[in-house]
Amino acid sequence: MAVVASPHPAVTLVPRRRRAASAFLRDRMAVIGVGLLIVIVAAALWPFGWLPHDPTWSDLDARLRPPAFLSGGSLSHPLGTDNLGRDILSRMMYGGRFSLFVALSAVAIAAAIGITAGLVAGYRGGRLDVVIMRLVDVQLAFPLLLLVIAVIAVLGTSLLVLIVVLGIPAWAHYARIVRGSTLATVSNTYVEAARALGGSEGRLITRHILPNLATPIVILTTFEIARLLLLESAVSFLGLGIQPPTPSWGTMIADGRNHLYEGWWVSTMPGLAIFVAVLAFNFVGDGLRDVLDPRLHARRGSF
Amino acid sequence: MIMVRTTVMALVVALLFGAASLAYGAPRSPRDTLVVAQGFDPRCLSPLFGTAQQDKNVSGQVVERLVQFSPDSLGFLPELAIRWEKTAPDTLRVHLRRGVRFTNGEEFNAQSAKYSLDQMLASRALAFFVSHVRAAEVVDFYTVDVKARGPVSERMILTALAMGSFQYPPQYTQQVGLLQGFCQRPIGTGPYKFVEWVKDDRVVFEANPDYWGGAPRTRRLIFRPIPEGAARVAALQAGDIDLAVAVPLDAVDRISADPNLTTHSIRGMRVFGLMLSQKWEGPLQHKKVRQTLQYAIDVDGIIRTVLKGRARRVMGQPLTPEYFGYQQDFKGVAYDPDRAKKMLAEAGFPNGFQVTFKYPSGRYPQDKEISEVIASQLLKVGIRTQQVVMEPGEFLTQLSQLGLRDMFFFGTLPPPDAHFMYTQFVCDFRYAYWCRKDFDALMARASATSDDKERLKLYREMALIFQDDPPLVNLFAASDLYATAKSVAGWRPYKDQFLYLAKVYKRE
Repeated sequence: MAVVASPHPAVTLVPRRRRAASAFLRDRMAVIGVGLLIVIVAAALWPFGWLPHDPTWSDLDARLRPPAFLSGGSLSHPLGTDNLGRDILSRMMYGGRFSLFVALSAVAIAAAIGITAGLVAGYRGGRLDVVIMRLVDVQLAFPLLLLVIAVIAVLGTSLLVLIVVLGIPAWAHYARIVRGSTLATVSNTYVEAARALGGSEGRLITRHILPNLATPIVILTTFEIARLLLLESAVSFLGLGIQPPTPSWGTMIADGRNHLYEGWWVSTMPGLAIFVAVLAFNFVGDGLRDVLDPRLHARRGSF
Repeated sequence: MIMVRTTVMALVVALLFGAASLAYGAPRSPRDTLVVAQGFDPRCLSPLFGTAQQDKNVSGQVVERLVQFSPDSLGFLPELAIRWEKTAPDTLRVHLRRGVRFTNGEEFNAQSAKYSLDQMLASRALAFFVSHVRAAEVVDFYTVDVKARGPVSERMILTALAMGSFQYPPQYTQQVGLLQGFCQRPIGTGPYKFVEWVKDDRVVFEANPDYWGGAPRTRRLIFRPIPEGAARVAALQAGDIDLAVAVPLDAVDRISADPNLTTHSIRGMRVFGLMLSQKWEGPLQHKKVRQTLQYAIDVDGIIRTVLKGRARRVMGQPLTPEYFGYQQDFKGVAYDPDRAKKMLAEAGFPNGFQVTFKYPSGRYPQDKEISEVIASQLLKVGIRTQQVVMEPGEFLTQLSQLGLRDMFFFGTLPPPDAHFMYTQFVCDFRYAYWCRKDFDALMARASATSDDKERLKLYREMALIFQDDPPLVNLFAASDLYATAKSVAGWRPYKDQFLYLAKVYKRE
């Protein structure tokens, strides 16, 4: 094991953080991403009573009204109405709440399982490590969408089922990345020093190893949210996700699919919402990786 | 079960994309070839296999029946029979067409007809339509007697024959098995001869030059499965197919705007309703609540908007005028949410209630949209629904296991006689969600009489029970929509959804 003294990370942490923050703010894409996320989250959390219309209220005489910016559109339905005469903007805002809630909750479950498994595998090593990593391989080899559809076919669908079903299989990415970083961190001298001083396993993991994993975990989380948001939309599109009358972006696209010729906006608007949300999370993730991952620093500025 | 459902889902996804590309990749249909696109591939080319019309449309090009329904389904037309008469209260004597041969050389006569009718009577798939028929007896070389289980009207026997009297060549059928070899290679007396079946791609037929009705002008007939309605229309526009079955309503404007295409619409007889299950405790057990629901649903509004006017309202009885037993003078009620609210309050639910509402997505045209509108209209009178959207296969499974609660959207297309509609509501029917002993007693009386006037009176009493103690909310009967290339001539849609293609040809 290397005995070369390396500086304790806590010493450089503060200035590095500050430098990272200012670097992040200089990254235009990342700032745009954060801005978009603020807008999306605000829209999703917008109180039900303040929505322009009741998102489940259908007015059959106002079917397929075009958005305000097209001829025939009106400001009372800024993004138009869908095939049942429901206000698309209200449905998008209200539906975003469920789409985001499912994606965030699922990622929380995935992170909890994956980080624990990764830490145990990386710290303990040996046979336990082999078993956990093979499980990760199995999980990654299995097509996620197929697994989700199969489980929902058996259990039926509900918000809780959806969250659990999307969350649990997503643990593998976390486990793999956390294990790798744990292996790299465990061999550091300050960990060894802490162990020599008699620190318990729990203290070693929570105080010395976990803080050093924050960077990869934060970055991975932004990408995982985007990935699960897409997956939730796919499942809802197939009619297996969030059930009506509760709207979700995926079901809204499915509803409009048969009306593409007369009302392309019914599918396009929620499609844009998914696109923008996923893009925003990816921008933020890219930005965070660029400023937090020292290995990429050399390449900065070329963008 | 899991595997089945996943496979189905995977298939759906694959076909969604596959069919679209197929539609554009296939060669254009040549002039002496007619290409028909339906929603799915047949499961078996024996007409005895099941009752799905899209299956029978394929096998029906080869295998013919004794009798067919008239285009408007009000009467019957001869096919391999030439005429018939009642010779006893329980007997219909059927005279057969002479000099007809199956395409493998076997002769069509009373012996073969008896053999085929025996197959019909033994079939499990057809039992629902033919259970009142007991036996077929050979009278002479070209005459058979069809015997019922008791006195029965001529209509009832003819309905059974129009549903199931497909004629098979006995030697060949016995040799290969009706539900085995015959599935893969059907032989009959029909206008077309079977050529090949490439699973999930096409079924190919060629004209039968010796057809008793005259050889068809169309030399080759091809059936292709294209699951997505929009993809069927796209294939039609591209000239790859000539006739599309079950065209989505939303495509009508697009087809009308295309100078090369024509739509054909016929008032369908599939009756749609909202079944109110009596199998579960809840507010729907109150008669008064069930009576209220018909005021709470704006059926005319749904027809005008979602169904683009292509449907008829079904009122006061779950029948359209084509059904024998339809009561001309029954009136429906007008949409009146305020009255519904008041009636609910009188029934003891001033604040409404919550029920589970299940419906399929993709089983019937526009099923999910219509159900969502109904749910939204029920909400306006205070009835909150917990909606469960179901994949069609799962819907049918739960339907037969009596698992659909508390209400569900459904459509039913029995033969056009009230007998077959009301049989679905007797207590010991497989999918009975409602049960009344007095209704069953009337049903038994109606089944035991050969007097159509008496039957009409009994069906009236049964419809009155439905009005007082409704098992369902009657909604509408949707029209069937087809589209063809303008060049296609000699074809018309039938109300029973059969495709008769013997006289169809393509103009220059």
